[in-house]
Amino acid sequence: MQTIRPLGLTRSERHNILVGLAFCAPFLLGFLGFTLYPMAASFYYSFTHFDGLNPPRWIGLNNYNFLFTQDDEFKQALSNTAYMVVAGVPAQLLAAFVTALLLNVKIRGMAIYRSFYLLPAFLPIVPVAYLWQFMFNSENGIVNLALGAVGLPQPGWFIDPNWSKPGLVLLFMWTIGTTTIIYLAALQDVPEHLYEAAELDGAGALRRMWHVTVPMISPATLFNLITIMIATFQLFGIAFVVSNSGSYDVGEPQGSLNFYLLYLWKTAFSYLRFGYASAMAWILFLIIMFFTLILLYGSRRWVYYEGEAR
Amino acid sequence: MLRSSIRGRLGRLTVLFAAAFTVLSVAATPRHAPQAPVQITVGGCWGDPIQGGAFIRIAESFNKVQSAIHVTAKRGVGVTQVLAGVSAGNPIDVYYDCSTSDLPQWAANGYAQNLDPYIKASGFNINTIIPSARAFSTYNGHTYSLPLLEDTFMLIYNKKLFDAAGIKSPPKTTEEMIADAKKLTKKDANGHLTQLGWAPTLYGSDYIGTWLSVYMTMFGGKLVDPSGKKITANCKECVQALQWETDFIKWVGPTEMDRFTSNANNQEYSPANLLFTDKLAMVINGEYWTGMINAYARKGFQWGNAPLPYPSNRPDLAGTGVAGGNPGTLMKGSKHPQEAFKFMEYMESVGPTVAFANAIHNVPQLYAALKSPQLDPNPHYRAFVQYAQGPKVTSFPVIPVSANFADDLTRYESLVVHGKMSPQDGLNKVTSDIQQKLDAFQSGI
Amino acid sequence: MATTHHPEEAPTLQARGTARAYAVPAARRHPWRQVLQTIGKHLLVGGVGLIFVFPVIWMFLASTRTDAEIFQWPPEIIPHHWTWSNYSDAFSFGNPGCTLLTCNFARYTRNTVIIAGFNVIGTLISCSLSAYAFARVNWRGRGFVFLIVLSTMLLPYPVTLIPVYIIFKNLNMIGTSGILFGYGPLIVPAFFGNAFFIFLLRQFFMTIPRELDEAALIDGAGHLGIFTRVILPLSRPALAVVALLTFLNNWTDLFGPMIYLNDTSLYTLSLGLQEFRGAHTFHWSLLMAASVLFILPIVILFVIAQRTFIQGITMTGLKG
Repeated sequence: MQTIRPLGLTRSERHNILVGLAFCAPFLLGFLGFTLYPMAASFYYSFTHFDGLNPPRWIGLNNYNFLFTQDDEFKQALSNTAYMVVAGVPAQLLAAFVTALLLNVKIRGMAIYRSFYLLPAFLPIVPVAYLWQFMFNSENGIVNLALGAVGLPQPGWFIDPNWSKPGLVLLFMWTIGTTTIIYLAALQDVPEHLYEAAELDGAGALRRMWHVTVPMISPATLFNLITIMIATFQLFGIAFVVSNSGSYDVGEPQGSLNFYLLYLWKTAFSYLRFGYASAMAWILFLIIMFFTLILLYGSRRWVYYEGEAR
Repeated sequence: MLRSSIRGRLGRLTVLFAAAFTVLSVAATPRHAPQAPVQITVGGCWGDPIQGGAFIRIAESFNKVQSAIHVTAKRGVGVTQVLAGVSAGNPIDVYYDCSTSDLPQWAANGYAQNLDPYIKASGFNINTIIPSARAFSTYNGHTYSLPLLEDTFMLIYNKKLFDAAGIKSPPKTTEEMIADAKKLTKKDANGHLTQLGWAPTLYGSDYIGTWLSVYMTMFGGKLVDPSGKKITANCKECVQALQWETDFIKWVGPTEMDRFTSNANNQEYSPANLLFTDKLAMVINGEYWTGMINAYARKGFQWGNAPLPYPSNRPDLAGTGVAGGNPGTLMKGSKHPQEAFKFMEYMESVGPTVAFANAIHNVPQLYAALKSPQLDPNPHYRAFVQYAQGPKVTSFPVIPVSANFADDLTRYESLVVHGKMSPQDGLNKVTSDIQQKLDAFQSGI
Repeated sequence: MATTHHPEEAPTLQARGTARAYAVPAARRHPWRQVLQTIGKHLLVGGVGLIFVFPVIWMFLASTRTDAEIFQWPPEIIPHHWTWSNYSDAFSFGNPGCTLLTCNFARYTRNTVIIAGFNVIGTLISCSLSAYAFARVNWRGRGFVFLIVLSTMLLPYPVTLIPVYIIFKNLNMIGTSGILFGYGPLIVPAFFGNAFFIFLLRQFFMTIPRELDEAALIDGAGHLGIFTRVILPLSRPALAVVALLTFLNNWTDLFGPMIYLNDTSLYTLSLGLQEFRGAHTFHWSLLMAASVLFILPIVILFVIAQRTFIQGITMTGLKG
């Protein structure tokens, strides 16, 4: 018979807890020091004026107040980011889906083709950003030269505020390799017999896609949707390099690439306003949480999990 | 048994890795000689090889004249990098900025050190520096910078293009300048520019990010009232200046102008510079173009530099000038401030000043240097130097939010000239934003 | 793992209205049709694939041209002369006349390798240990702590960014010289686990049969023994994935180095590449050459270990 200890834990249970904690000690310590404490600290900073040099000075809701009522650049950052989410996320999902379909075709040499489609996703952001700038140079870039050769209009791309974000969306569509992989795995999981049954019912290719493929891969769609959306809200690296092209400020041209994190970074590290930037970080956190929850909640309508009753 | 062989292999691999990385890491740590001189790091904003290289050469010449302090000079150091170092507690010791709009904000926030005590202790004579350079080095009555050279701006023009258009002499008034610019602007059958008379917003990063404040000065506008507490960026003359450049850009077409100048920023210091290749006729820019033209323009390139134009109804504004320059600051948190100041004193003496002035063709900031026989006799350069000493030279407002001010002007100028808002609206926004920030600073928020 | 299914070629690609279930698909009736179909598929997949790979090819081609030729139209697809000197110029940029090991580029590469290497070590150690706790140790509170792990995956990094920066600043680890302190902020966090990889490894560990644990237990091994003798050796594929993805992350990282490194001798490749873009000059051909050098290890790794890359993504993706 095992002796019951005061805490309601047997000796072996206590031993196991210690072992468990010991093994994940690195994570727990890291969580306390690099996650929990910083979260509390940044929440505190958001109510202060803090430049990293002098101690933080409490100013109450001033940062938030300024953000919501006075800061034009904040509004610009929000709207730019919203554009990328609304336009960029569906575009990327679609591109990933189409490329996954293409990669699912049964032909020889697929390994080679696969590397073409997937490689861009793993390339470092700095060369990729420079390459894109180079190719989309409004005067001499290969893209505009090719467009001109076939008589199509040649947008200014990264010097034209109306075309800079579309140019960026194209870049992100080019680097959706990881999303494609997830879709590809999901596609390959769709049971054969469903397609056969649909064909028996007289469904053509497109209807089979809509009624079999899309629902069956909807969990992957949900996963991809959330991941890409979160990543888009936190867009920084590529935009930083692309928009900092020798002109004075990041976020050029004319602030069209001034995304949320770019503005946050500028506030923190160019203007040394850590309190203000912390407030922005928390607002972003809430925005992301909000949309993720909405997506998750709404997903019950359209996500189909194998094994659930319809 | 499997166990021990895996253990053995794992063990050996681990040791190998550890050894490899230790070796790499040790090799990467900088070595220090025994009894080393005090090490200080100084940064210069100049990034290109000619100017940046000259800075490094001249800064490190300090190592030759004494051995107690060793200077490592870096070029192409940006403002963000400097501030990051300051806030991290690990700054470079001395920084020479290419813009004058940072110093007041840095002084107000304590990122740059007050130099008065150092000056007093060392007996350095601050009066060897000309007033226009002292103006952008002072805040609240204290000296925060020992400036390294000064900039002044004139109308630089391409003589060949002027001759081809039949323009005999450079424009004197702002109206003439626009008329000439229009004459010098050519488009092809598709409406694409083949030649541009003037690009008002180009190369603004040579100054504080934008030339707008220079234009405002040309029109007699003041950005701040004399008390320094009220922002007047939307004054009548200020709006006039912005309207002046906006009208021209609208006439050319902002999209077309952007397209034509899209690569210009990256090719300023190169033979492909738009002015040197006869694609651009006029720029309002600084005396360092003398050096650029010597280095990169074709042999026999003909150019001129003329006084800044003035509105025809304000002849009293003729000869107005703006002083830019290179404030040299001792950053807060420097580990060796005394030694850093000694270095700054050295750079502030005639020898290095003249050498650097000749190397990058900037205006010397010392009286003695201005009189020095070693100063480059190039007539263009000398015209600039003369102009810099005119009586009507001002500099960018010295207020605690000066850097924000420069940024706002740049941003809203861009919006206005692209037709997104009227000049009055744009400048109203700048005024209210900076006034708010100024008030917030004054009240300690 | 999932079985691979490929939808039948004929029914998917032919938009047929009705098809009797057991009718012979059209392609099999006419062999030449099958050939045409295969060619068509190759053209489609390969054509779009070429569009995808074109920018990389363009980058390489641009790196072999001079600045003057780089923008000419029509572009010569096959250059008639190769300016390989771009590579040596890019390598020695900023420090002409340097030897192989003293060139800036070499230094940046070495720095990037050091950071990535330490990160791989730290991540492997900390994440495998933590994953073991969740996969094999039966302890009260395990579920709760695992939930914490998952929740950190959802946390946007800007929220913790600034205080972490301040922590490192107070430890005098920002902009400092020297490996230990200068790279502290970029290396130390790796030794404290990463939710993503903990999750991945935990899923993998759970697929290892428990009988093997018991065999080790009989030999007198405690949890640590089971971990080192049973779990780790059998987890090579998963560990390889973690190592690969960590290396990749660090090779390409821009944000961390940008914030924490001020001393150019400690710069990584991502930062070093920005030097090609001066405020007033822009050497495209050199930049493209440097970019090619920068991405080359990734490309090589990708070609060799494509499967591992893919496995890495699917391992974390589908179970999420």
